Amino acid sequence: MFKNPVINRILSALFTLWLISVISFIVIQLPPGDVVSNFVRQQELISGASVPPETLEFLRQRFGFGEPVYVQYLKWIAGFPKGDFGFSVIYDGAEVADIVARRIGMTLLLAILALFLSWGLAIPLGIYAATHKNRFSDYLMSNVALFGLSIPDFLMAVVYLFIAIFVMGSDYTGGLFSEAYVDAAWSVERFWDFLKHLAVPLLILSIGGMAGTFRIMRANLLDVLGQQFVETARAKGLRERVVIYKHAARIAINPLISRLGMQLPVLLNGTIIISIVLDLPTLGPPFYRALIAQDMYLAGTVLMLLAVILLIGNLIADLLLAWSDPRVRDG
Amino acid sequence: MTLLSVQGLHTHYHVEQGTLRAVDDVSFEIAEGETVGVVGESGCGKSVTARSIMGLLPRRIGEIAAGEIRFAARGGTLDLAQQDPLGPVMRDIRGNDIGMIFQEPMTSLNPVYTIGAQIVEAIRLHSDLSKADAWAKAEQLLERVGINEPARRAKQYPHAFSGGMRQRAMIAMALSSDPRLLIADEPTTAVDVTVEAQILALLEELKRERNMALMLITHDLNVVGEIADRVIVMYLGRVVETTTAARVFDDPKHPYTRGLLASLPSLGRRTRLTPIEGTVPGPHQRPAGCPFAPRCAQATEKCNTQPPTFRIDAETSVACWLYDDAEAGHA
Repeated sequence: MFKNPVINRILSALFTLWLISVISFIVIQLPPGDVVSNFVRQQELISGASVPPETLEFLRQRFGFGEPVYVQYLKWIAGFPKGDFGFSVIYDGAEVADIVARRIGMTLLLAILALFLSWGLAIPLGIYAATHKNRFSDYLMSNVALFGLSIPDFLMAVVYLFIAIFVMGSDYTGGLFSEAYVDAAWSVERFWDFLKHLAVPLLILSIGGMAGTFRIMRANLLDVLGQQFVETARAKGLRERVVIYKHAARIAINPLISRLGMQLPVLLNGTIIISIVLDLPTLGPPFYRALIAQDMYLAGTVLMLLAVILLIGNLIADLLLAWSDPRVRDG
Repeated sequence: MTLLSVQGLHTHYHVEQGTLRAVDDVSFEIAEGETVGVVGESGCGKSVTARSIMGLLPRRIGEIAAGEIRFAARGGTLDLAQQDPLGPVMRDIRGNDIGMIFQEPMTSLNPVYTIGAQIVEAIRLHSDLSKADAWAKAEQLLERVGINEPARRAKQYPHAFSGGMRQRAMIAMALSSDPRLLIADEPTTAVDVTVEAQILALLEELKRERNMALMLITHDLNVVGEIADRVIVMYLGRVVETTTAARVFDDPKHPYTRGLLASLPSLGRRTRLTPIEGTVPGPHQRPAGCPFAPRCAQATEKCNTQPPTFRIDAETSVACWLYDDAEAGHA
């Protein structure tokens, strides 16, 4: 369409964004009844008092209930630039944007840290396994990785909790802080407590991601090591270490970069699921509750956010790959 | 003066089906500045011989089981067969004293580094040149091997080069440290016929101007006829005939050499091509006696034992029972 591939890429990303908003809106519309009636019923159940008619009228106006579906959609997305994504039923009418904003930071922190940790461990291990192919250490690592790949995150979290509490007698019960530090001001002790708590979900998340990355890295490197240019590098007289890292591993990493865009959302999903099990202050618990209670603005917005992050992740992966591989860059 | 002397070389490949005698008692010499063609069908041990010299046998699979590879370097001679293939001595020989180019120019260069960077890497590995001086030298080398606009071309990646140009770049890289010996493993098999002639002419020129020895591995006798001084004919891991390039066409001795010649098309000779009957036996069905006996029309009872190498005169020797009275004079 346009000559510049970056502009092309961004335009197609914008189009995808629009599609995502439409699908999220359809999801919001799926449950029977509208969100406002749902909200009224919920409020009456809890407090016995009915919602004031002015509020009701305001909400109907704001979201266009009773008007055609496309008007409702337009009214919903019209709020986005102002940071208005709708209100939450289960949080007593609180703004979705506030709920999400408070928790998105911790969600991304966990997912990104887990990504770095899993890459930082899986890539060296993959290189080691590939250069020691068919030896005992390779078999051991490959089988452990297969095991890690087969266990879902949430099961791992439950198993961990079980071992920590019933076998090791830990008082860890989830969350990111011990009871004493929940509301305390930041201090060295509180930070240490935070790190100790963070380590658990981080480990569970990265082990899940590691297994796949390890296996891909090992297979890629084995493939690259069989290529002619590796022998060229050896024939130059380069050290084996330089041959492996500079000439072979450097190329074996490229397919991992293109997988990065897919891996970030997987880790986000993992974060959400683990957070439900371990009760962490991420988007996990509200999203889960919103889905059960049909709190559709909250659920739809989180869904949309996840899709947007997937999109951004893919965009970053594409740019990184173009930077890393001249064949991609030149066309 | 003798530059390389291979004596009684046995190279074994340890594969799942057992031990494969890829090179079986091979002896030959290459003098300084000499061009030696090594000819034979695929799987006859040409490339394995070259990789044994370079210390580039596949790790944990290929092994020099016996024999000497004496190479004149550093004011004395060095037995390359005794060196650790990954050790500092062999690394210094590779790319510095012995350069090597390969069959597949399309995959011989690393796709993520520029042509210039890959040549500079080889130059700086074996010299103390500064980065700027090494770049200047790389550009000179590229110009010498016939690449136009070397300064611009050096900054390009391999995918911007055609097959013939990549092979030229490979030659530039192999020559970067002024090796005494260049091993060219089927350098023209994967390029067009017109490019083939250019590459061969270039190798011939460079060899003369640098007084460099050239070991040219090929399955194509015509290539040998064009530039080689002497010819070594191999079959199933053994040398069956050693002779001069002129004599291989005028007076081939070994039935296999004759067969190769008869299966060669030539201009102005309107005779039927005669292929050699049968195929090269699999590496695990090696005949007990003369390896060529099962395909040889002149085979006799005697051929059930391995013939020794009969010296016919100063320039020609042949491993065939047809010449067992050769000691007396010309057969």
